[in-house]
Amino acid sequence: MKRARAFCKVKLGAPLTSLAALAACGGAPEPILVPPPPEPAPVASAGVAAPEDSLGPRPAVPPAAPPSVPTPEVLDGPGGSKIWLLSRPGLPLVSIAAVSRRGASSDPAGKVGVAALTAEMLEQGAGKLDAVAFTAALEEQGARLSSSASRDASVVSAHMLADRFPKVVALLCDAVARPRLAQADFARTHALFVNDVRARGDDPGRVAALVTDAALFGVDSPLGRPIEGTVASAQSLTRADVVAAHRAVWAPEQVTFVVVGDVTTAAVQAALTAGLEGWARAKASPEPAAAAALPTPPRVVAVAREDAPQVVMTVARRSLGPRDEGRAALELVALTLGGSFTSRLNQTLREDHGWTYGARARLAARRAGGAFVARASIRADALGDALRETRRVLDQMAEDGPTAAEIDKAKALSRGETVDTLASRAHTLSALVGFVALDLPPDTLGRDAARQGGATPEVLRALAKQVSSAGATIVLVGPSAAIDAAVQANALGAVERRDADGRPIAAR
Amino acid sequence: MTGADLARVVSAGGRGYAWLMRRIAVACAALLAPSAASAAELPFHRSTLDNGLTLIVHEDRSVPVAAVNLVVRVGSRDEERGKTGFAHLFEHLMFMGTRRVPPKMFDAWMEAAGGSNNAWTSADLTDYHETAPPGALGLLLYLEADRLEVLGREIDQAKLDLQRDVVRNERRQQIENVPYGKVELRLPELLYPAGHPYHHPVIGSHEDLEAATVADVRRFFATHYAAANVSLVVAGDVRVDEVRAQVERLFGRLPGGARPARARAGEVPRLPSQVRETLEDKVELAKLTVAYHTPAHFAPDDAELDLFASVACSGKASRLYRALVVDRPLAQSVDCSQQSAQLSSVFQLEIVARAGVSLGEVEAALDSALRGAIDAPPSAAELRRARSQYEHAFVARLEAPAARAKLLNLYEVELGDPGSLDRDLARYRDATREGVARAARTWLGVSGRVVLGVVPAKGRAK
Repeated sequence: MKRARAFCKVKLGAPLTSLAALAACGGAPEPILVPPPPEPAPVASAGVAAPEDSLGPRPAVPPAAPPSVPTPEVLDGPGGSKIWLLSRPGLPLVSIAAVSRRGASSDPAGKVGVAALTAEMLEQGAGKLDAVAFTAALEEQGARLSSSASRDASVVSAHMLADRFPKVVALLCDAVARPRLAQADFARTHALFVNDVRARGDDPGRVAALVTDAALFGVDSPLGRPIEGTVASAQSLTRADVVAAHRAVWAPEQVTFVVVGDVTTAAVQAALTAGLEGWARAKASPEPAAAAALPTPPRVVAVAREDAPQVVMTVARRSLGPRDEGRAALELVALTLGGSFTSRLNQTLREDHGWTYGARARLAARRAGGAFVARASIRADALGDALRETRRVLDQMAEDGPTAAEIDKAKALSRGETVDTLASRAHTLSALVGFVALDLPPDTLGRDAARQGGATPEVLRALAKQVSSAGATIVLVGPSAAIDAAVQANALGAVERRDADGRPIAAR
Repeated sequence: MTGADLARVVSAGGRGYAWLMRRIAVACAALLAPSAASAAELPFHRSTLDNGLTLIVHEDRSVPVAAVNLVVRVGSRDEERGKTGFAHLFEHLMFMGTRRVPPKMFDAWMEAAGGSNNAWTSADLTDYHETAPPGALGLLLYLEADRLEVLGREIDQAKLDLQRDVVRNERRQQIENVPYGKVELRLPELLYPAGHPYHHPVIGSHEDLEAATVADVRRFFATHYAAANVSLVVAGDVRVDEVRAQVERLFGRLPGGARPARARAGEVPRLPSQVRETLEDKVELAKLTVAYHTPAHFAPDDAELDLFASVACSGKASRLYRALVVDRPLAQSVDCSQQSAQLSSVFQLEIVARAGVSLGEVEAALDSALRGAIDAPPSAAELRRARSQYEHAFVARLEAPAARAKLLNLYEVELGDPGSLDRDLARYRDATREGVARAARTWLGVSGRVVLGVVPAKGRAK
């Protein structure tokens, strides 16, 4: 069933702008940074076609109705947990996730990476089943369980056919409440985990994301350090650390079960009650301490990747957090800059100059504050020009804000992203899991749609100031010679050199 | 519309999503009860325009979306010598505009209407797909009809130069600057002899991309982008009669003509002996790729090899994962899959070694485990688990209108029948332990294979 390799017009990837967006190739506004286009085909009016054109006039498009966005039902779950349920009869599919609002930012001092390692261990056997038997039991139901930790949350999720729901939920509950955490499984998983951290630096995209976080929020801070830690910190973790972390992360009061699909309220409650029988009520562990004063981010950070054909270029700055007023509207600005094919950055760097395969910009949400991130992989010899143009595009947006046409287009595309999110149970689940992780209410998808629909040009122009390149941090991963030449050509000053873990090289 | 087409039309104007869901629910129930006769079918209308263009319409009003999926029967296998990467480059050029839809307006108009698009090219096909609010369907079809009519004739040097640069950047970003990316470039060259349609990678070489001319583009368009070579699916919140009228008006004027001749699936290639090569890359961990020639997509044994891949490599309970990761600390990851394609397929195993483990050790352990998996047929439980995974995957890909459009077009262009869902499901439902074992023995129990290693470049070895 796996098809042979194909190549796309646009790279598919992670969500671009909206917290809930899952379509990688969304869309956005008409660019204003390009020469005016030739006169377009006339738009149809009153059904009169231009007689000389066999296709007739360009069809007019009526405004699309706002999407109807359902809100999940909120219920009390076992042990003080919560349940968000979006019941959707029809296709016999159900998706479920257990979400703890404790992730890598809650790792205790000296135990960096333990949330990520603990997440791995939840797939290594639970209840009466060892790792192999546990996987086999899930596969018997046609399901696969996935466990991961982000900075803000730990998530165990599963997707299944509806008639398998009780059995799969029983296994998921075992993973959350009764993981085996056996020594042999720990030894194997720990070794794989350390190796993965060791190989992390091979991937320039992964390095760029990691170093950007470290530069913006501090390489030793819970907001900026690598989620998996370093090779040294990963090696130091023990099974006892994992046992303690499991207890802290999966305390029932900080857990929400998100369920989407062809399942009833009664069936969800029955399955979770049965699966979590005996799950000791435990209070939530303390929230991670609020960040002390964040460091002043460096201006330019370089990570050497000699002989690479491209430089991964990132321009980023700290930005609004998920609960800040204006966050949903600012996502429209980010979408205008890099959230679709016709976004300003993609048009300039790819379609005008051919320096990249694609450029993107987005708001990266996290509970304790967000970031605006613009990124593209640039042909190494074009980096200086690309950096200059990127800064110009950002600064023009900060100065003028989006045009009226861009605003209309961003709103239309955002509506489309919402519809796409709702069209798939797995996508809906992913959006709701994000809301839990960010401490956002269950009706966030609808609220955001309303806020974005009502965003005025004045509000967006004011918010656009936040994407200026002035004060932004530039992270460059690629050949040192190309980076140094580009930084010099753009008069950006001193370059701070870091390793692939985000740590300043001079400080080691 | 032919009689067979009429017999297969199971939707009618005015019927809504609830009805459709009942049909699919029936399909699932049948699937889960192997003894029952399955009636799985995605409802659709199929017709053929006078110029040979195939139109398939699938109504589903549950989600306010219109989805368009347009496949042209051309891929990298149709490229001439010295023109590698051309089919994919041409796919990029299809967005570069015409006099009627000036440069950049294809995307700008579509996105202004709340729509989005993408496209992909494989060795066998080029697929253009769009989604938008239902009110924008007319625009989507207009844009597709326009470029099918005139784009090839209106291409110029500036458009070609720009997209050539973009595609070369795509090659750098997707292959050259990612760990182990070299495997993707080298493997087809080792698997297939020079001159075979699958000998070169889809992305092509920098040299050939550089050498492409406007005349090449025009000739490629004239040869392959003929109406008879196109299959168009419209799915979602649409009405069959309206879609047919629109398509007839917009696409009906495209010139007809014969579908260009293409290579057909024949004998599965055989390597007379083992082909070995080792590459260096900027990686921390070594990787071993082993590849075997196998039968084409939908040919006998294709589904059995999918199921064997699941038994061998899918999840912690799989044979090879247990042998190389759980029982012995040799591998960081284990993956294998039947990479299905129209002429013939490749069964590919990919093992990333743990730090300090040589590829020789990995290969010896892999061979031993693979031999064991071939010699001992899957147990009833193993086959049941593999089948369950496929059952779930089949239903999951029926969710969104765009996914259904893609599936209908896949069945049309590969099997000549959009109503092949049940036939496809049956391949997995009816597979037996003996059949899976026989397929594995036949295609993977041979000495002719490619063994391609990637080791850390000097100075990085662990």
